[in-house]
Amino acid sequence: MPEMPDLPKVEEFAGPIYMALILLEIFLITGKRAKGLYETRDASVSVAMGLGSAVVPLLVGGAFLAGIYAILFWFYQFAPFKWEFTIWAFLACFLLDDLRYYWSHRFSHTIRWGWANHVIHHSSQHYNLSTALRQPWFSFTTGLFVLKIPLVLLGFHPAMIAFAGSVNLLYQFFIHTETVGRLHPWIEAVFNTPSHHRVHHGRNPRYLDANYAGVLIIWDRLFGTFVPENDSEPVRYGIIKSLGTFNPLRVATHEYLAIGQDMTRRGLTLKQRLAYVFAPPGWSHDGSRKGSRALKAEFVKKHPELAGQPGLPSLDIESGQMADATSSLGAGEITRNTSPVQGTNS
Amino acid sequence: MTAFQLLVVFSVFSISLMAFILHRLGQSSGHIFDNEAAAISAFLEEFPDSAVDEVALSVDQRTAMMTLANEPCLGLVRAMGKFTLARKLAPEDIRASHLRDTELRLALKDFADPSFSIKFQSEELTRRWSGYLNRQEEPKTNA
Repeated sequence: MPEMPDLPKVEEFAGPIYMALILLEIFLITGKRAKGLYETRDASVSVAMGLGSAVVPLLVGGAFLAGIYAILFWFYQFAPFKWEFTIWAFLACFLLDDLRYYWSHRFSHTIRWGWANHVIHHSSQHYNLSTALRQPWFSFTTGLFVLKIPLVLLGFHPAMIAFAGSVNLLYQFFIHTETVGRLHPWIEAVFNTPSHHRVHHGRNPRYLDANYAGVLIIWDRLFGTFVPENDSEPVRYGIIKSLGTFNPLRVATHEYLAIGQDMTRRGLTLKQRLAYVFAPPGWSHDGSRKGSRALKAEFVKKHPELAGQPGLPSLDIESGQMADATSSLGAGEITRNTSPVQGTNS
Repeated sequence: MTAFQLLVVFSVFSISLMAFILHRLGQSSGHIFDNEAAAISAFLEEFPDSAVDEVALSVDQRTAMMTLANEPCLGLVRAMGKFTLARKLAPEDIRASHLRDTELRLALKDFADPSFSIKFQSEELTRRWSGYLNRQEEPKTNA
């Protein structure tokens, strides 16, 4: 077992940096020196959600967290080679953990159980540095920690993986802003930037299900989910069915409640009940709801001249895609950003 | 003081400070609809296939209700921070409604949108829209 150094605790020094930069952004925006919008209640809820994301897991998820680390350490013993804590090992770990983050994030958008947790982060219509702190409270329940097991089996110490994850989240704080336009083309080509991440928070049809990257945008380019920001179509942030509350408890739990309501409906088969939990967000047994694919297809029907552009299907394959999506579960398809409670509102 | 307690104290202080600064800088006002046309435009942005017949803007210009052509529900648009939120409301979406003078308060069944109130220009207008909502009165329609 390699000797473990005292790794910096990112969360301990990050708080003051976050707050200083949020205040700076507020002054720049209200002084008309930068683009962006703040609103008192929205920003307060965002930061309160950040506090909740730190406190709730410790208060109610301590056993879960301990269990997760116990499982990771259990797998670690089977690693044929164990990396020492060197800078090269950390860089390798960081790179692979960023790939892990891409898939974890993508699953959080395409599996409703994950979305119920992650929707918190997308629930504001505002997009500024405070939005970065609007973090989920129940990440320990998603089960997506299993994606860390391959890294552990490759010989990376669980503490090194946790540290890489912390640095990844620290980086992502800085890209939740409208104050920065586009960076140098080389940076935009390789890294996740404010421009790329604005797209990820968009609810315009063309921007749905795009740009899942943590630090490196290359994963989106590699796996076909990259969509560039289009200057002719400003990003509308948030989720398709916007929340009508600033209550942090409602923000944190509304999608879990919706899952509970859906899966306990009368007359459903077991498969349908399970699909309400694990199918893409917004799936419904009767096909009555619309999701990102349907919304994109609908948009393209109204704007055929835009078909085939990044983030939008082409007209000729649209019907085939829809057929595939609906046949797998026997009903309507839907992906992110659609509230399953009352179907679509768009 | 433990690191956990420090985090909580720091966060509460930060939220309070940020909220105070934002409020003092005038960022608490939220969205205001300039007129009825602006409210309709905000609603149609979310529901582009709908057609609005009649609209009533609240006194504070932050909420508007509208009747929709050929649809058995009412349109609602209201301020949510600096942005807007649009809904289609049918009687079955409403848990309870309370009418007082010129104000109509609604408790909704949607957990993520539990309640709102709208103050109309007159008691007559308030009663009329409450009637529309409960389908006690048929909306005027141009369709």
